[in-house]
Amino acid sequence: MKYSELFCQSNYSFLCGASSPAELVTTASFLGYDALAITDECSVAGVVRAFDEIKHQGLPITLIVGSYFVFDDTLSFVLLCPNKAAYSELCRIITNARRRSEKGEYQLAEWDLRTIRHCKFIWLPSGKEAEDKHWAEWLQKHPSIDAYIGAQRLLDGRDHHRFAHYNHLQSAYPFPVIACTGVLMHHADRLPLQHVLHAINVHTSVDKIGRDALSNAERSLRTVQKIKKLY
Amino acid sequence: MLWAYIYCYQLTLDSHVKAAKTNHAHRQALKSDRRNDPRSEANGSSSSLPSNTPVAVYCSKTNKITQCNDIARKEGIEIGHGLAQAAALCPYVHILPFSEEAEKHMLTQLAHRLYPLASDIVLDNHIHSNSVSGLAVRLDNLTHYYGGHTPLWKTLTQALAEADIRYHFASAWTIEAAKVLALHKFNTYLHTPDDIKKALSACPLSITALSPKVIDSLARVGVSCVQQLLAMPVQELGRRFDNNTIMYLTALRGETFPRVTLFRPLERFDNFILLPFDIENTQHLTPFVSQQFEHLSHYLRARNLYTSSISVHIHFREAPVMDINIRSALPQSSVQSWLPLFSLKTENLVLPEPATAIALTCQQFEEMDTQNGDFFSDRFNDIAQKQLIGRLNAKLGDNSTFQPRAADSHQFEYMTVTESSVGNCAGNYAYSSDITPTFTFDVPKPLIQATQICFGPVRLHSEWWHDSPTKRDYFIAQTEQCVKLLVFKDEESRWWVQGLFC
Repeated sequence: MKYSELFCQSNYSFLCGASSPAELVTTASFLGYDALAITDECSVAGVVRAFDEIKHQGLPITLIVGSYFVFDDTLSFVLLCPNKAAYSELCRIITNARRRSEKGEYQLAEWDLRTIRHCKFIWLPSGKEAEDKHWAEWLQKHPSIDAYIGAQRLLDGRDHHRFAHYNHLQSAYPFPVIACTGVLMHHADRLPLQHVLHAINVHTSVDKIGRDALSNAERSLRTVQKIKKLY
Repeated sequence: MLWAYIYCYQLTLDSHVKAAKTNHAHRQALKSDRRNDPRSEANGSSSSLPSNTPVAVYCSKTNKITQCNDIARKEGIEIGHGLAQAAALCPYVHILPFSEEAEKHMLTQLAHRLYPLASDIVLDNHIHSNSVSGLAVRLDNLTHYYGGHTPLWKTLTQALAEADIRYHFASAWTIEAAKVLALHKFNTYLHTPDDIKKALSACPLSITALSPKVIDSLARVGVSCVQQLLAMPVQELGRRFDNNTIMYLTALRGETFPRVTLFRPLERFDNFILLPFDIENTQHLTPFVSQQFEHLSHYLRARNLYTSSISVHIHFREAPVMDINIRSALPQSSVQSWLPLFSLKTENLVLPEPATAIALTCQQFEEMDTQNGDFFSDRFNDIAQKQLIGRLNAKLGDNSTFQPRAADSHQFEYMTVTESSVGNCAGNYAYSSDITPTFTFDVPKPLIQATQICFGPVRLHSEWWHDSPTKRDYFIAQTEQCVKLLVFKDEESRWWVQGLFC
């Protein structure tokens, strides 16, 4: 079975990703992934280092350029670039979003979404019925956006709710469902570091993160056999 | 300016009468509920005085009678008599001790009552004090709002009538002048300068605040009444007397208006009452405590506030003050809410000696939250729960009730905490995991029976900062008896039971 991870954040997603792009591509290649998308948040910074590593090591893995965004706290999605036109489109969106805000922040506008023509759009539903219904209908009204539903299986006790929701969305709206993890680390051993980064991000100490912390290390690069079993 | 002076000449006596009336009303109510209750009669020192008893208030500092009721006057007792003289005239006279602190407190309570009607109030201990209990109310800045002098004065007298006290009153251009008229028992409302001058002219110098030395000095120059004092030129006054006396005299004449410190209510509730008789049994404190709660309820309602913590202080003659703190899980303002908690709290309380006074204080307030006043937002269950917690705490003591709450943790060992129900608990997290069992074992037990997995896995690999970090795969498994268990497989692939579903 071939597998490509389409949603992965490196440590260029500051205080979120816990592994470097080099570690991610090396591990993904070791695990037999066909391709890996480095999708840092509103950035393509991780792509360069990942490409360097692949070229330097001669790794048999395809690098996909992309980026992860959150719009209005209600819509999370990943944009992937299958061609140069999509890359230009992505860079324009990133530039506009960054220009609208202070350094380190970004702000998308609905206009940015409407202008997506070439990028692949992987929608990550929030699980909130009203919000997801709104965005599903919005995406349906903009058929120029090649949208997919990204399905995550995280073994956190909410998988069956999530998958029931994905099934409901798929039955109501014409979006294909694809598997993605939302990788934050290349190996489970990086979980403590990811907790520390997250604690810094929310301005608290590690022992006080509580349920805000990841409950397990499933958001790491998993073996293809495991992914096959999970999905 | 126009000031009214309210001279409360028998505050202690009035308080005693009011307390006796309260007790009488309570006993009448008890009689109608319970016909014969030997307990209410057998526990002594709780009987009220008959209404035809002569009562006098005695000040031990001056060794004089300062207040007495009409019956005592009929027996020949007068204000200014010594204790021995009063006892000789009437051997069965009931003596109440005079307490300056208690009188000040009662005066403050009166000021609290008048404050919503008139904001400029001065308590007498801020003026040339000669141990007279009274307060002054400024009127000229209120006539506009009340639509004239008559409605204004009528409103104030109504409030004073509700306070159930006896007083003499008068009005004049300054507090000093109004006080002189009030001490002269003028009891007429005046607001024109000519009327005030004419009224003052009839007053003797002896009731002014002038010292006997100054009165003698004035007599030497032919001034023996206030009328002559008002006619005397200012220059003449300035030549003969010191600055303080000149300030007083010019204020009396309405030529100057000395600065005064206005009464401002404290941002806390503090109510003190003297009991009409010593009380040994805590149950007999109920009517007086109920009266205190009514004052508190009135105070809170006027300010749109609730409270969830009050203190009742029981005073004794010799024993130290007994403080009873009562907390309620639900902020409340009504008498019906607090009285049962007080009864529960004092159910088994034994007083070290008979109580002589009760005070009620409250310092923590909460504003009435109109934002969450949704009638349909499960208020009934929430209110009932908090009322139960309040009663349990009152009965068993503070910090005796605990509630389980979902904690902010993924691990089942730390998922539930119990914390005291007193006060606001920090954060109330919902159990978010789909595999939260009904009961969780403190220590996981080895799985020894055959089960079939029906849900899972849910992987927990977190909280490495605890002493024993865990990596477990949780499942819901069903036994042959159809009992659902929360089981997990540890890193060594051993199976354990963590909880039970009902």
